[in-house]
Amino acid sequence: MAALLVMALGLGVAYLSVKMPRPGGWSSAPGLLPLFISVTMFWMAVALLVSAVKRGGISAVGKWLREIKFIPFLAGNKRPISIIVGAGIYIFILLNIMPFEPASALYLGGIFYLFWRGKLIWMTIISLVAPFFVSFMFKGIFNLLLPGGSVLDIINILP
Amino acid sequence: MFSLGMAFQPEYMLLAAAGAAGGILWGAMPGLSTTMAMALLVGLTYGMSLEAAVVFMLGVFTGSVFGGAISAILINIPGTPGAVPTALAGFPLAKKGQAGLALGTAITFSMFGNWAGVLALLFLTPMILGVALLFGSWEISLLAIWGVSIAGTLASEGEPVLKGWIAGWLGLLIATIGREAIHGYERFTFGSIELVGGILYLPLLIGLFGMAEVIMVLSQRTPYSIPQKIGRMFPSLSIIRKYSLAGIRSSFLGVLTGIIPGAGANVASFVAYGVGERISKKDFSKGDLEGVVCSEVANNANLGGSLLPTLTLGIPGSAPAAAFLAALNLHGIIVGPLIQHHHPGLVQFMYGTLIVANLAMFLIAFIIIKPSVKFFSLPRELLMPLVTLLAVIGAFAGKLAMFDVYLMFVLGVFGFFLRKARFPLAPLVLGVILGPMVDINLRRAMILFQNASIWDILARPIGTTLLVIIILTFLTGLIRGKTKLG
Repeated sequence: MAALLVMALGLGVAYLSVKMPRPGGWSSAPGLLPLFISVTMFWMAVALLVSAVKRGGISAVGKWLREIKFIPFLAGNKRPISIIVGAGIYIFILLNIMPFEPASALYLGGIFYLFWRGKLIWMTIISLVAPFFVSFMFKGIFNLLLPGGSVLDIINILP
Repeated sequence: MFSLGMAFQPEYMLLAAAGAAGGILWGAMPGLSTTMAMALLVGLTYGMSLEAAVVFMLGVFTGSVFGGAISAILINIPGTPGAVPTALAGFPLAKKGQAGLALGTAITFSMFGNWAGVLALLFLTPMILGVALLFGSWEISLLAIWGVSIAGTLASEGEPVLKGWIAGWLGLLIATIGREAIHGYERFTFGSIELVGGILYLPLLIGLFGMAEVIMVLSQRTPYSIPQKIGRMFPSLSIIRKYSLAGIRSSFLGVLTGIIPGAGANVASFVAYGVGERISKKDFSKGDLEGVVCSEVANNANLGGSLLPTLTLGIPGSAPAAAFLAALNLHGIIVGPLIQHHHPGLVQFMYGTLIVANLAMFLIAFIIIKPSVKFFSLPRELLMPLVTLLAVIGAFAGKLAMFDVYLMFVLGVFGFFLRKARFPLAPLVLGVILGPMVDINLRRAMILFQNASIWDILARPIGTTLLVIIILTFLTGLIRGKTKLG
């Protein structure tokens, strides 16, 4: 499966590289390196595919494709999907609508609830305290700006 | 102006010690690798002075390489990939009630390994700098291509070598995104203004080694318990004497694997462990101090070795060294053959810092291990979500742009799927770092060779040697792969 994706990527990049302008001929062309990489990568992927076929990898993919059902797939990969969706919501949504600390507290609370078998009180305390600790450390010590802004700026705690 | 003596100023010594202490604690926590620490730190050093950034990062580097041994020995979960052989030989000792002795031996020989790395840096750097000045555009591009290829070969451990090469090539491809340097043409930006400047190291490193690791670790369930009593820690003189030969041999192997691009502490420790088992004709996995010595000396000596090509050629010897290189770039330091000319004394300052960090690591490790044994086994379900916060701040710090945070996340998910498909990530990072070097130098060389014959090109001894080495790297990789398949 991976080999097929890399082959497709190689072909696509090769096509785009050839279409790039060549003001001083091929020797200084912007597409020279991408073309070299994509063509060699395509052949590496072909070799990978051949070795996978020899090892019976293709029949395994075929079996997987025949047996795949959307719901069991989601259930079987609940943990990685949950963390990807959770982090995605935190990064793409929460940090855009609220400051760093409350966004992080919500993210931590949610992920702790899903993954950590600790006591609810500890989950709540850590998810509330940790973002403020991190924010105080990085704003106060390293003097860094935080994504989404900081509550500490709003309440004007730091100099 | 930098100097060796600067590293011994109290404020820098304290900072190196703080970095080493932080590194030990970081490395000791399962799942928090040296590379992740270094990657997250790159962005955070933005607010520091160059001197402080160098000292702090080298301190963390030194501390976290050793830190991996703590959880490896105590709970059989290597804190860093380089500590996997340490777990194989050390955890059975912990089960026999000798955890303290195994840890004490690991600390002592880690310091030994670090010294070997520092000595290699001291003596080999001037030699390599002298040779590096003979390199032209053609040679530099070939060296960088070899770096990515050999990294792919070495990092593909147990998997088809093609996967390592494809990962490296993907890195080179990612490096071509953005405006190129000769004609100013925008490649693969698809109209995005944010991609015109290319993909920065920061979101890439943090995404691949921070976010991907968070997803990877939280995807698995691994309960563990730790021994409450670890017993005596200081190894006796007879133990030190008994394993000193194994230590010397492993330090050579560690430095050597460090010099080879992409071969990080994990390759070093596995090689030294394997060689040690073969020479001693013992099975270290039943619990053996010699196995701990081989693994720990090699992965610590690897640190100095990996900094050698990083500083002299601009080619990182390992993934954490790549992060260190990125931090130097962030502060406007361009490493390479002219580093001594452009930044006199900086390399010596780094030697001094490594010496201080090494001594600090030794002392701090002995002091903090016993009181903090419980701390090392904090659940990963608690630690990993907190790492996400650091990853977000680190990715944002470079350009103060949310786009970099999005990129970090996307690259993290990409890295997770690559790892699931068993593609190594280190060659990919090396490809991204060396990509611009390959691109500009290859095209410069092509322009110079426009009217040259093939014999003129082959008449360049260094270039031709490198060309032969590249061909051999691919051929031996393919033959080895074929033998494995057969």
